[in-house]
Amino acid sequence: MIVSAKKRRLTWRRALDNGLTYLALTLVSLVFLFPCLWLILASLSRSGSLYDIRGFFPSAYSLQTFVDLFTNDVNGLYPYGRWFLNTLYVSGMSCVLGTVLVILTAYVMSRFRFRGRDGVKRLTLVLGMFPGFMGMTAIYIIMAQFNLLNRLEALIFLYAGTAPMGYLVQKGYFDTIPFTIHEAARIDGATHLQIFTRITLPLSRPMLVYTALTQFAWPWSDCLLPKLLLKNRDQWTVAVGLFSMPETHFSRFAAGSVFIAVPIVILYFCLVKHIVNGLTAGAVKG
Amino acid sequence: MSIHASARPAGLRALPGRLRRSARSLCAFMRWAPVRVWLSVAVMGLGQLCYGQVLKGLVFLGLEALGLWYFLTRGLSDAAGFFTLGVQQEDLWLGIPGDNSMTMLILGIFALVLLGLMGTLWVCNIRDAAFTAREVEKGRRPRNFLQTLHCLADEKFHVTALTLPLVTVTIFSLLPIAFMILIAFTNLGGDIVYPRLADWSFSAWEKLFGVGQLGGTFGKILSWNVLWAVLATAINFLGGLALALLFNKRNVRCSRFWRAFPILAYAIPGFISMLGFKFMFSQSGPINSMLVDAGRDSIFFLTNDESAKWWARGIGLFVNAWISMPSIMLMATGILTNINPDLYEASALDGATPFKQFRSITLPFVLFSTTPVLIGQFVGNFNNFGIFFFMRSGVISNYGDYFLASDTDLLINWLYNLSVDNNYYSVGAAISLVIFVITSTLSLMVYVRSAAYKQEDTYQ
Amino acid sequence: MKKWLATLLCFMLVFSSASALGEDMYTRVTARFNGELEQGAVVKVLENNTAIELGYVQQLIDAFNAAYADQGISAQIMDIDQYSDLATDGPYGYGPDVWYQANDILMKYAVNQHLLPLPVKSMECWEQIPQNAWDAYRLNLYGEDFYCGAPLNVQSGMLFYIESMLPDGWQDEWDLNANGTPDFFETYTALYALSADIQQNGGKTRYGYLDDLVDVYFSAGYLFSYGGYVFGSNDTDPQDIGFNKGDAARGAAMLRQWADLMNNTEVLDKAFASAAYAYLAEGMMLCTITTPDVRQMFVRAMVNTGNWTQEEAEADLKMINVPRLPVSADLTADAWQDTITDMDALTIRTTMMGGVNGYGISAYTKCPNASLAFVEFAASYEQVLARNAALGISPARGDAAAQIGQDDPTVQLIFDNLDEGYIDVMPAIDAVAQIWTPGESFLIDLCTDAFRLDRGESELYDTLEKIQQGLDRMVQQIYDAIFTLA
Repeated sequence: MIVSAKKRRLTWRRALDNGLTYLALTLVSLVFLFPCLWLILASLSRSGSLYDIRGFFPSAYSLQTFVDLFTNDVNGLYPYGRWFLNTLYVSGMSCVLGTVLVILTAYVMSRFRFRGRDGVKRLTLVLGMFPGFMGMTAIYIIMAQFNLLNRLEALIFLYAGTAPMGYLVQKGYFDTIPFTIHEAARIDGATHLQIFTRITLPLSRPMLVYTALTQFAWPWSDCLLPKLLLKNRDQWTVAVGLFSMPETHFSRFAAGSVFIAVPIVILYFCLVKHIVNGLTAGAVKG
Repeated sequence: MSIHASARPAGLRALPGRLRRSARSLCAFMRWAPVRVWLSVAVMGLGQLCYGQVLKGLVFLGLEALGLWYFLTRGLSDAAGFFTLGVQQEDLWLGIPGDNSMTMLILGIFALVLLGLMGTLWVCNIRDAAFTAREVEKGRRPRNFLQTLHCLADEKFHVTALTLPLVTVTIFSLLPIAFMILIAFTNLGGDIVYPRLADWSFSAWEKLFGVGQLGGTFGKILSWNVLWAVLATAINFLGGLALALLFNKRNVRCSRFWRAFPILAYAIPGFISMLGFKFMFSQSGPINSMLVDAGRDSIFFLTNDESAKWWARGIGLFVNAWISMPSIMLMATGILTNINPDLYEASALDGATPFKQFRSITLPFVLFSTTPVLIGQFVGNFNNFGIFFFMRSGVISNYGDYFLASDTDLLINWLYNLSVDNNYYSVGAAISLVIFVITSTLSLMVYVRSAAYKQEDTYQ
Repeated sequence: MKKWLATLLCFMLVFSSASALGEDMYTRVTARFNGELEQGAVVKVLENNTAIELGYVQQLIDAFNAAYADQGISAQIMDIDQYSDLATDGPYGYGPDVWYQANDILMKYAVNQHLLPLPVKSMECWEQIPQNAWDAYRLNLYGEDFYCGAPLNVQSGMLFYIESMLPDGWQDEWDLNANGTPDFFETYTALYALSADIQQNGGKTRYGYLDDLVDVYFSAGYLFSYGGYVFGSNDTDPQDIGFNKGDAARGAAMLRQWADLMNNTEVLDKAFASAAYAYLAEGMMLCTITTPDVRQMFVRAMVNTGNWTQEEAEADLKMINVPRLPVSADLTADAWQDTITDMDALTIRTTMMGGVNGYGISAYTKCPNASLAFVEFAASYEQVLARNAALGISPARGDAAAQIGQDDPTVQLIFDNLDEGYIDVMPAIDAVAQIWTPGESFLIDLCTDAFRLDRGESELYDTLEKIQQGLDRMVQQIYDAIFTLA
């Protein structure tokens, strides 16, 4: 008798726990989904202006905005397809170059002890705290001197070139790879370069994926630097283009936003395991 | 264990001794150095050539020629421009060409950096020649080019690997920061912008400490800024941790499905989310129109009313959490898997409640392992420009004597108003220098004390 | 010392050469406009987005290229953001040759010589455009007046309404003076009465007049009509900020009255201006005030509802002068009928803030003469007529205004407003950039006051003295923005 009462109490508690858990899950999901859903619905709105939508939902739906996005650039004002390719180029190239630079820096900072290492560590930490946009004027002038204004390469150099400043997470990951592997390889006569390319890199796949993804995602959504450095509309990236759209073109803005978010969402979903592993290891050791 | 803590003061005390020692070794070097090393001192690469290291010598020689060419054609005048900041004002109407102070400042810094680089290269070249000379003295053959390359890929791998990152970081990060720091000591900004010429001056600092209104506003914004940074970091962190714990609960099925929603938010470009939320909370936005349709008063979420102060601040915190909580959630998910499950079982046997377990096991573990990330978050939030720029720009508070700022502005937004919107470059630079000193001392103090930093060398 | 020497050097250079040749500054600075078209030059033209979107710019460029095909120059649309920063881009070789913008934006760049002074005296449009419009581009340098832009069209707040939405039988009830214009569009007192009536008793629309009251550009009219102004000494002296001068506070009190009546918090947000197109078309309100160049946006919104075709919408949408303001500076003091029958005694003509849009030529252009040719072409009688046809702008040229005015009296009206000084054109000095944020912040605060009592807060602007203090604070903020750190 007593046992079954206890059991009943337990099942009752479990049911309550289940209920509360799923209530929380639903709430959280709604909070995160709702703004995204609203944006998607707005992109499907037929009339185009933001203020035709009273409340949360447009009155009529149509896929026309998505078609217009690529076929009708409004006399050259909003060439979305071009912007998309530009963004892809900038993000892709910055991703490759930036990843190489960050990984190299992090590896060296993790595995080598040399004069000035401590200084470099502290310096990067401190410089990371500078309010970024104060340097934008300088970046503009520097790019002008290199004759890179109005060119996508300027952005690639900038994103990839400044990436090593954020090497801490990657360094944390390399710190977790035991030194003994390294030493064994040394005894076998491998050079440092060989150790790096043949042993460390294959062991660091999650970190590589995570790094590549972050290096890709940042240029993908940044809008201040491209706005500063790119002049011609057909050189813009999607973020600049979207930012320049007036509210009267709201559903175009929404459609453009949805379209630019899709690749990133897919990437994140496919690679979520690597992200978790990379982030964790990096964060734990910093 | 705490080598770093003790090494620094010791290093400081030893400085005069170290100087004396290096002077002595320099004298010894000068007495010892053979002719071919002196050749390298005179002309980079010449000594290497004489040792038969043709390719290496040519590389050094070529670099020196390149450097000389740069300094003779423009480097020297650029460096001079650093000190003058221009002498001839341009008249665009009459077509009288002239100088651009800002460009001259940047190019001047660039020339000085290159000068330093040339110096370093020169020292490297002498060191290399001396190394070869020692090898020859010991009766070995000078290294050939292949061996040099091999050495660069092996013993000197760290130098080789760090060169490129160092160059790019210097150009794209250090140079702009140096530029900004130096701007604080010029009179650039306001009326003095191109084509007018700037000069070195302390006027920005005089204004910063001389204009009374600035101080009051600075204090008010700073206190809100600190509150914001603490709250935002705490909310993001605890929220992210809570999400991770929620998805990790044993009775949650399809946690991959549930986790997808925060990741969705993570993937949308930040400025789009912020603009979306701005509209959502605006007076014509869906939330207010629903309130009105339901017969209630609309709420001044983001307008310029005193009652909007805490609404706007709260919405700022919410939107910030919406954007950054998912990444913390992902990180915490990973960290939680690292906790030894035995700990929970043992504590459960001792009768600990889930809350107690959270307080004594989970939280300390996560906090302990993520201190650097937390510091990064804190600094990021402290300088979070986007939130209030995208959501509430273009207003100045009409109460409380804010000087060209609104009650939600963080220091960095105020800085933007002053320096970019109104072109007060030097004052803006001076303020950002002050902000920088505050944030960097704070976080450096925390960081150096943190376990993650101290344990670095003992961990392995 | 260095500066001093440089200035001396510069002065010596200027004066020696000027006096030696016996030339005045005007001749010297316009010397590069020597009339010789740069062969093969392509003039890069930066136009505004609406004009590009509606296809007019391409039409203009095509016409120019056809006209100058045999003279070896051509033009193309400059494909950059319409709010380009010439001061940053110009020195590095980017940016347009010819730039169409509002005068306050163009003149911000003229002050530091980024725009060239035009040889106005030899330009065809010089005589046709009234001095008030030219003044929008006047810059005093070397002690002389120069003009850094060619005025094209006049911008100022106009009242927009849809004719078919007018209350039924307005001819009987609301046309006391039988002039064919509804009385409620003639005085603000009448408009207020109508709006109150519609909001209480219903009508074809939910509101009568509805507008964002917090936009300095449109609401400054209430201050200007009672003695306020932007800057002193004919808008050239930023030391003297005039938003709080005269009886400006009494004018501002009417904004609060409107906010009270409208009782809609959407008007506290400038974003309302973008919403207004759809709201007017959907019958949310009968009328609203905005600038003539966005006329097509209303038309598009009307077509979007499905109730109008393009032609019907164009015909049904009306644009007229803003109503007159009461002498009493109180929208409820007089009976609205009296303000119509005794209009001259009880009301004054409203002075609105305005702007003059036009073309400037970049100081960094490689082809000043070709650029000037383009400006002359675009500002010519025929092109101004074409621009009006495509965009509905109201020209600054007298002859064009008169021609269009035959069919569309409002164009003549706007021209007259400018000519007679009822449009207070935005000052041509860069300090004007600092008036907007403090101004808007005050207006939001003022209009929010209408909602405070209902929400259990105390009112901040319930007396004229408090409004005056609010204006004083706003002026102080503008002053601080201009001078404290300069």
